[in-house]
Amino acid sequence: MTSERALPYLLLAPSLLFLALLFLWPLGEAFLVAFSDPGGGWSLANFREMADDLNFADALTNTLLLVVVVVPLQLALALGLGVLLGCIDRGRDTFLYIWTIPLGISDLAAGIVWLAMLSERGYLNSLLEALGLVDGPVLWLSYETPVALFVAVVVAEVWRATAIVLVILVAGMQLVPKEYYEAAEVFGASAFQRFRRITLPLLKPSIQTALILRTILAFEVFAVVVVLGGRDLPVLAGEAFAWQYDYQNAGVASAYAVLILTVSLAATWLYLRLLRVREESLA
Amino acid sequence: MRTRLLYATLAVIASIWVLVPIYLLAVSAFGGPETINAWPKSLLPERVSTETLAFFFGVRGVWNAILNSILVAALTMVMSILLGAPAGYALARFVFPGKDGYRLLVLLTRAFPIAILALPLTVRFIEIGIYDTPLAVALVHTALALPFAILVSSSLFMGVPKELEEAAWTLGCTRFQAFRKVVWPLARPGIAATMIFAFVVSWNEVFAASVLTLRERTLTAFLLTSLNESPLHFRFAGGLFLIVPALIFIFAVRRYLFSMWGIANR
Amino acid sequence: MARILVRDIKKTFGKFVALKSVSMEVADGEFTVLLGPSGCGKTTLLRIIAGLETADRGEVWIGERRIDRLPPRARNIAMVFQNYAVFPHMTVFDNIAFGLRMQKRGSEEEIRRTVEWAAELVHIESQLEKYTGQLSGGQRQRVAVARALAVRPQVLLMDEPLSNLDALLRLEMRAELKTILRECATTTIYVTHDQVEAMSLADRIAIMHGGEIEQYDTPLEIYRNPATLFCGGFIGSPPMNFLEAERVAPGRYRVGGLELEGPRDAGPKLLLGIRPEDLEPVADGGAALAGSVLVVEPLGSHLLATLRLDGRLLRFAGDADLPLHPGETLRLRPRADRLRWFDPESERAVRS
Ligand SMILES: Nc1ncnc2c1ncn2[C@@H]1O[C@H](COP(=O)(O)OP(=O)(O)OP(=O)(O)O)[C@@H](O)[C@H]1O
Ligand SMILES: [Mg+2]
Repeated sequence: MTSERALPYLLLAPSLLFLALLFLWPLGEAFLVAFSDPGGGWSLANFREMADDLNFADALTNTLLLVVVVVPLQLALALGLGVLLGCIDRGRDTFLYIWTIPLGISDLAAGIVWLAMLSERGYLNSLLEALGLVDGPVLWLSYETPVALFVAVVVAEVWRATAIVLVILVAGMQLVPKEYYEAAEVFGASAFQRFRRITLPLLKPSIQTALILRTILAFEVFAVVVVLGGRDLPVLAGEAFAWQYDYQNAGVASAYAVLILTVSLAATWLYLRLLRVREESLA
Repeated sequence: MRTRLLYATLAVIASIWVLVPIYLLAVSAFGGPETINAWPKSLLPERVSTETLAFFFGVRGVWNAILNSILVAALTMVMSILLGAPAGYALARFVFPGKDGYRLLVLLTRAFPIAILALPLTVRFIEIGIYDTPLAVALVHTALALPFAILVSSSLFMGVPKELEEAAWTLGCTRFQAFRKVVWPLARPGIAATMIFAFVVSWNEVFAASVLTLRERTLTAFLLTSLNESPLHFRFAGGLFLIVPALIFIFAVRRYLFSMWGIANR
Repeated sequence: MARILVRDIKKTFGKFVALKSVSMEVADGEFTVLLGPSGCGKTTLLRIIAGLETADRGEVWIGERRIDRLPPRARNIAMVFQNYAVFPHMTVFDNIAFGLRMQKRGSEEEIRRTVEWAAELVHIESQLEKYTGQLSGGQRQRVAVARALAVRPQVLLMDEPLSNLDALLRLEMRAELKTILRECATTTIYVTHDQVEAMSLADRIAIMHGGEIEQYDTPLEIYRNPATLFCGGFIGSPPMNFLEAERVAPGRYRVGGLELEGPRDAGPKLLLGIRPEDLEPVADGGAALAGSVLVVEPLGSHLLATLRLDGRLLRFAGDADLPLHPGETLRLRPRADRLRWFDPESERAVRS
């Protein structure tokens, strides 16, 4: 009987040990490195160096802007696709499969996909010329066209990561009993009313999860940006990588990591506050 | 009838939006080097050639990177399920003090950016001499995939009624035998899907792989760090090679995708 | 020897007390039925005996072995689960053979013969190659019974094993179960909601209510002499009538318009328990319980009537030919030897 009581702990122990070693420990260490100075004492020197860097302000604004633009777009698109899925009657599984394909595509590969579309001699320019809108290849992805570059990243991110939001929302929609809709239809609710009064409220927990997950990942946006624009469009994770990899300065890199973590947690907290889900509705 | 048509059209447009960029990447990768600079472009490849792919695989380090990627992903897959499945089973079957705390810890790990793990670990890995090895990358990737493996396998085990296991006990099974004969066969397909998912998480990961390797690059790290030196068609071929497993993966686990995400987020 | 002895079992789930203090002894080869309303702790008690749940305190013995510390597999029991728990990834054959194989009971050939024997008992021999997912609820339930019978356990625990069968099959299997178990001399505890099933199967019935055994006796004894109000109300269909009685003199109580002989040393207020069939119509004008007939149910073998008596309902079972019509007044008198008295405070029977 004693072994029976110990069993769950024995089963948890390996994963717990692993998470402690590869997660809690580095986490603590990142803070230590970020908040220490070369002499070994506590200081904000790394953060000061980070903030004084030319790219810092751009990186911060770009990342925040990307989150603010990309995440709502993805949510709206995924909601639309989710509802659309409920309306089509044939080929539902096929559509769903196609729409979730990007789920398995890395940000690096997504960047490359859109590089093929948007490069100087890419398909977009071809299309625009065929339509008579431009005259010969146009350079979109350069530091001289920051807005176009930004839009390119937004498009690539929406293309790639809407799938995960869609999957979470559809998973949530599957939990909503069909009877609710049928009842609402009997009472004469229009399609839009059904969406507003039934789908949205019951989907709130899923929406919350999707928003949190996507926002956290959006703050980490990295490879897409690097592929499309190098460091012409600085973002936080890109800077962290550059400081670590190119400048070999772990202190500043860690400061960036701490900053990313802080904004991620702040956003998570904000979502939890704004979209409060009552416990009983989760059951 | 009109609205039906509208819905179908919208669905097709959404599918085109997903598929066409991939198709065009494939055209770029299979059309031979001259398609890259062709102007204006055509939507169909002028000829199908494997030159670009041959060039891609001919580049020094590519094969090594591919092998490393597979090795790292396989290690990640195995480690995350070996660590995650027992924990999932414990969460599914036992009530014990500390359970909620553990769940919270697991959920929390998903809220932290990879950068904050990878950077300090670089130093540690150098110290213990596993920096720049597939194992080091796989360890970090396992940290990424493990929370998912734990939560999903826990709900898979919850899906196997406890009474089945208990019936096996009363019929003469030890705990372990009952698990092997009853729980495991029923949970196996879902576990396989979870493992595939872990594989893809690792296969796709860029940041940690790039920070933690120098010569023993994974494919993503290799592509990322050679972006500036490599010609366009090399990047296209690499991108396509990254995507293909993804298509197969989504197809293989499509049945589990929604239940996995539905439950993993409770 | 495989008597079951349960001594002072207590079980709580958090703050909820599922079993208060349960003790019972089932003799070797005896068939005991646990009967009680939903949620009274029947399954919990069974699971504790099986070793699937650990009691907070108390002992469980099988034969001369104390088993409450042993894992389920070492207890030499078999159990039929309330929700069947047949293995969906195995055929019917493999399900029934599972216990035999795990316990290495003989060669494959011997196992095959035992499986066929058990399958025939429950009439599923034609389904042996099917996966259990393709079976109906009733068929699955029979697989579960066969699986438990196949290992020929010392002790068989069955949790509502026939609940999902249609009435006819149920009747048939009930009879067969009883024969098989008697032949094998298997000590059995059988849980059911169904009092007819309980009465027809049991050597003894344990009436459970709110985590306690209120009475543990032969079916007839429980029917004749219920130990509590609950037992009287739960067994018998329609249940026992309870009428308020007031003491008029030591040993004499007034019930409605009647004065009856009651227990000598009991309180001033009692409840009289009387079965519907122990009421007799009074032809003459003597003292009686007079009620107006509300409903008459002619059941063929006998007749049931519901009367209103001083604002309360009274059930009466009488001869099928009795000419009764709603609205009439019926005058009844209880049979003197069938009067049962209860203390309204303790709800327990008072012996006269
Ligand atoms: N694991 C558990 N956790 C909490 N409460 C439980 C648990 N198991 C049983 N209970 C409670 O204990 C009480 C007795 O349950 P039990 O299953 O023994 O009832 P039962 O007599 O078998 O009822 P039924 O006839 O409906 O099957 C119930 O109120 C139930 O809610
Ligand atoms: Mg029960």
